[in-house]
Amino acid sequence: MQKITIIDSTLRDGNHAIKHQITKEVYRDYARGAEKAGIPILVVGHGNGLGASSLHLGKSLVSDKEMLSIVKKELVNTKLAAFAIPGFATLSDVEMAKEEGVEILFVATHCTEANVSKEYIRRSGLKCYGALMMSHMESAYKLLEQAKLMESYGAVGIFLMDSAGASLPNEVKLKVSVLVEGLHIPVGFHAHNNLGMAVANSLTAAGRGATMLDATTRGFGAGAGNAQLEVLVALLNKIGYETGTSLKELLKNTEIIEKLKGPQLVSPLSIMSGLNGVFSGFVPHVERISKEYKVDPWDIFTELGRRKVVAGQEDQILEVALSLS
Amino acid sequence: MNKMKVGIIGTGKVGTDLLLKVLKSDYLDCVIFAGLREDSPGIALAKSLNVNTSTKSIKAIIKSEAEIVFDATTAASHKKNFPLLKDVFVIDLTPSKMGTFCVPELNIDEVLEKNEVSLISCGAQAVIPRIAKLKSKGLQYVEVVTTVASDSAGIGTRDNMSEYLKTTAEAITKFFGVPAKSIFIINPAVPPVQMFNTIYVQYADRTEVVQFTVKGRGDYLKIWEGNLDVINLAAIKVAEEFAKNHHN
Repeated sequence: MQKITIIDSTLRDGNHAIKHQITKEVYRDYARGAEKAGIPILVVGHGNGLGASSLHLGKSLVSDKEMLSIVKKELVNTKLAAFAIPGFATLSDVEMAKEEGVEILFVATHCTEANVSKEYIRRSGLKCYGALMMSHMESAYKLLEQAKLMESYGAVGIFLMDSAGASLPNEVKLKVSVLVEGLHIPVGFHAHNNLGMAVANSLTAAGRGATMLDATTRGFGAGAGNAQLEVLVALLNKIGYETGTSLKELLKNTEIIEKLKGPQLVSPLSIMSGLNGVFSGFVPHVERISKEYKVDPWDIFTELGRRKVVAGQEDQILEVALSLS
Repeated sequence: MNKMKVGIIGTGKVGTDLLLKVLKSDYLDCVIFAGLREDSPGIALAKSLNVNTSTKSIKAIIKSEAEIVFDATTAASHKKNFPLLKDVFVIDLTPSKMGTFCVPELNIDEVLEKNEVSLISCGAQAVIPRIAKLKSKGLQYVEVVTTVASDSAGIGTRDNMSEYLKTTAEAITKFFGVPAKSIFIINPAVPPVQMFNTIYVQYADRTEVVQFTVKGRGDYLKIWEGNLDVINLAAIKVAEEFAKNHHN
């Protein structure tokens, strides 16, 4: 039976869904549940990772240090992971995470800018996975070239992130196959559901040799959310993959997240994000600014897509809204 | 008035653009343009403009009569080079952070008597003069987001991303006395985006947002490389003020 390693990003990407307001109690209770369910890697952080709590993206309710510390206390077998985007996170943030007991670091860059990850991967002293964000924007071969850079810096695996939920299974098939073929390290996939394809794309990735899948409970995450963890595990079990997790316990975790947010539908704004290939995390910002400046969010997303904005350029939303109002 | 003799170390695109700016200056005269690579396009251009060039890097600078040295290499090489430079005024464009932080509009007088001036970072040169124009009363926190085109973010910036973020924030704190945060984004779009800055300024009762684009002069660098142009303009400003001050 082929083994799939599940990466649970509920306490990281999920933060996007409620403006980074996950409470101390939820960090604690969810971590406890994840440990019980046999989740191998639990990622914790602001939606954009270490050092990203800001006026620009929204402040976290709980500091990076405190959320990591709360979660760490609950974990025995589950490994604690942090997420770092160089440009937001500094190496001091990474150092702090290490002191709080983080064992695994995801170092994410825009999919064409992998060399920005070099010093973070080399100097963190942690087991690092490289993550290529907004992977729908580049060809399979460009992604392979960038993934190889991360591999050369010492990354132990590469994640393709479909950050805008813009990819279709055929693209995922090609991109994952090319990476699996061309790299010596495992390949993972991180989905968003902006066009309703998150679970389908994740299964497609597994079918093409991805051995790590990133998902969140109830799909709790940016835009229309991520691949729904409990659905994904149910399907993987049904198909015959081995995940080492207990579905029965994973289903109990849904109750903790249900209290934070109702069902995450594919909202009109998420569809616009997916169709225009704009980072999922932009959705709540576009919602607020479009109302404030009385501009149709459709027009904002269309213009953002035309400008090929990347993750972190949330300040372009205001600029675009002002130019359209 | 006699022009002051300057040397430039680093013949990449920043150093070459700096050379073209020096050649336009009424106060500065480039006596040596030094790098390492014989095939550097910057060296070729300098030769065609009858500028004295060398590929012996720091050695050529030490031997020259330069009174002001611009370092447009890397932080690591600046750390090695600086101790070798005696009795010259050094203007550091790398993120080595060794010299006194300078934003010419704000503290030129503070640095003219020093041996070494640090120009902090491209983002700092773009945003700090703008922050200085905002109300300082009740200021509590400043956050800056700088976005640049992929082609204008050199390997030095990329390798030193963590240092860039920390140094830029530290400089804001030095000049305004409040905590600060710096965020840096690289965008690979074609055609390239111009340098774009957003400043979030937090007061006790409100937050203000300022946004602006920095367009380059296009001397040697491209117009969309405003982030590099702005640090070169600051370097020229410091050098000219030093020249005016020391020729009286």
